[in-house]
Amino acid sequence: MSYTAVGSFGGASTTGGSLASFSLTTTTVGNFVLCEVIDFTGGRTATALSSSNATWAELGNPATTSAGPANCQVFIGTVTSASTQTVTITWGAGATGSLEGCAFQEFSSTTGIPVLDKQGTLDSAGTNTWVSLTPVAAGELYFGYAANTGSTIAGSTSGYTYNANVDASNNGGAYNPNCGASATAPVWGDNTESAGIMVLVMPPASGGALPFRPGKTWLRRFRHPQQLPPPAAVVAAVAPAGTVVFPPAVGHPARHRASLGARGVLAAGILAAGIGPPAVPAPHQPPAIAHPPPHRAQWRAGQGAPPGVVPQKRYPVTVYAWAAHRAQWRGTTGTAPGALPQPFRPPVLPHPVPHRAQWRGGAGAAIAAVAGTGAPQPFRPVTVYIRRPHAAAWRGGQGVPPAAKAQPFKPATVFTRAAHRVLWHAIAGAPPPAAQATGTLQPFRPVTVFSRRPHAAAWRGITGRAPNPPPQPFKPVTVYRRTRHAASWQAVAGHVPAAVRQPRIPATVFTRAQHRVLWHAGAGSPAPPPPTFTIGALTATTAARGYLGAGTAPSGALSAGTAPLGGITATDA
Amino acid sequence: MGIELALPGTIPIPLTTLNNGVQTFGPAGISNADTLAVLSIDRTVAGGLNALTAATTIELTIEQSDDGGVTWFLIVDGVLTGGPVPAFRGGGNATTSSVAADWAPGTGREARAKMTTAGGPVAVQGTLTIS
Repeated sequence: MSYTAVGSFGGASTTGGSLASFSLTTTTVGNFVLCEVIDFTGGRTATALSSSNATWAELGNPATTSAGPANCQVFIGTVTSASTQTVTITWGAGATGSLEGCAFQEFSSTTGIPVLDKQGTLDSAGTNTWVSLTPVAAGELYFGYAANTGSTIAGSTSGYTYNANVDASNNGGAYNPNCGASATAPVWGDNTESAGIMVLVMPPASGGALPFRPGKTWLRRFRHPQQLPPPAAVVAAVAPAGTVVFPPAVGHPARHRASLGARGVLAAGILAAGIGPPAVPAPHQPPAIAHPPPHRAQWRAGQGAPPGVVPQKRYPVTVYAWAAHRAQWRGTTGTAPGALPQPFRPPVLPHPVPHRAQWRGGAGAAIAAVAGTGAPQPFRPVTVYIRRPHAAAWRGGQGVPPAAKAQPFKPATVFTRAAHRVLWHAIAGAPPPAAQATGTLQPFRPVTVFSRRPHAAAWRGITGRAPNPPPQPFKPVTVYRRTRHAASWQAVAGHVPAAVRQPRIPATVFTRAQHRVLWHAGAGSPAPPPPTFTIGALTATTAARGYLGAGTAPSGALSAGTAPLGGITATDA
Repeated sequence: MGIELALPGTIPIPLTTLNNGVQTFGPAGISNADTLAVLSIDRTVAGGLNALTAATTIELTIEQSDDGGVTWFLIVDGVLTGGPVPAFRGGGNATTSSVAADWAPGTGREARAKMTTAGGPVAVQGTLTIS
């Protein structure tokens, strides 16, 4: 993470008038401040900022939106003292708008004063999303401030810090000091974000302005002559929007001839002083070369060594960075150049004796043993490891994947089997001996055969209907008697239904014993009762039950005193 | 003597006619929790800014002191002009003008407002809100 916010995210504004100046509190020398100034509905743009605690420069280009219109400009200030000071705004020509405001935030940096990477302009009648900017790399800083035509409501986009009232006039500002590598933009909670500039800043390219590091100059390895690198922010300001801006590389002056060394100086001095052969043409000029040597580009392309050149041992060129002369930056108001990176010195590559593994694999004594020190080392064959192609190799190819490694052979264990006991149980005598007489008889255990059902994928691949499920055990449906809810007939209008007709029960007819008077008069038990009297009409076919004849014995003496059984009437059935 | 504000509050600026020159309002105490200062002026009062021309200006400044009023430093400086000006929100002409800014961090802070008039006299009425 290159950038960290320091202090508060603040601002100032004037409505119905002009904003002339505001207060800025800085905390650490070497930090930088991003500040955006907006004139809304007016016709003028801020062209400069000035304060005694920071050095200001424009960052990017000014922008004028159609919404408002708003005239916007972002500035970057390098903190030169930790204090609270007044920042004065210099405005260009034009009328004052209905709002003039600014938003600012101080940041610390681990990579020096940043330069502009991208700039975007928000120009909308009302939106909730600011301009999306894509950083060159992760870790860049997104900063913006925009006029709002309604009420600003902070958003919640990850990584962003919002201030919905950054200028004290209900306009919002936001920043993200550590953007990801992809396009980024803050989303607000309102839909009335209207006009403003958003910028992405990134670390300067090598050779750019470095953080100010106070201290003795000799500790920073200043060298002469030096050249002041241009201020990164100023360079960025003239770049078109949406382009990556790098400050121009620091020029390297031609190497002084003194660097040729003492002998070079001597030779050069001799030639310069005119000592030696006179500067006259040779009497015999060499003939023109008809066939010049091939161009370097040809042999550089791989056609061998350049003609007439013996290949030399190649060393990387040591290139020293040149910092600006301190006399130059002392006369300016910019930041002092920081310490320069140390000159690159290629590491010394020792050439050790060959590794022991090399001579172990070959015949003969070890190379180091040539010196005669120590006894020869015991021979040890080289360990050869099996290498299999990487999985990605055959995955990307069109062949088949390499076969698996052969497994170590292990013969199957064959157990002796005695006959099944069913066999010898059925016959008399001892069980048959085992086929092999070696070892103890193993307990027989029949193979467990598991039922297998076809895999689901089998019938899934078959067209047609899936097989029906097996029939379920029959279980008749239990039908419960339901009585109608009371509310049912209560809701019915009318009378309660009539009672159900009861089943008819015939009247019970009891047999009647003969009147005791009768059997009192007779001998023995009374005669059995006559059969059940049947109601019906006598017809000609009705059989007589008996006849009263001359031989019919009287059942008793009938006298005058015999009481009649009862009166017989016409209605007797 | 200044007005002490232990909590966020509003300092009324009564209807006053400002002649050319500087008029100071306050000082007032600022709570340690306060972060915002807004000085607002009513432009519609009789003899106020809307009734005048652009030749009349009022420079509004808010200042802060961290040493009990011995030294003052500027927080924000805005210049209001006479005559109708567009409103920032809502359309039409502005009925109020304001300058606003964040207080500088610190403790034991005090605030005051200054109005510098040119092309006056001009009538003003407003508030200094501290929050």
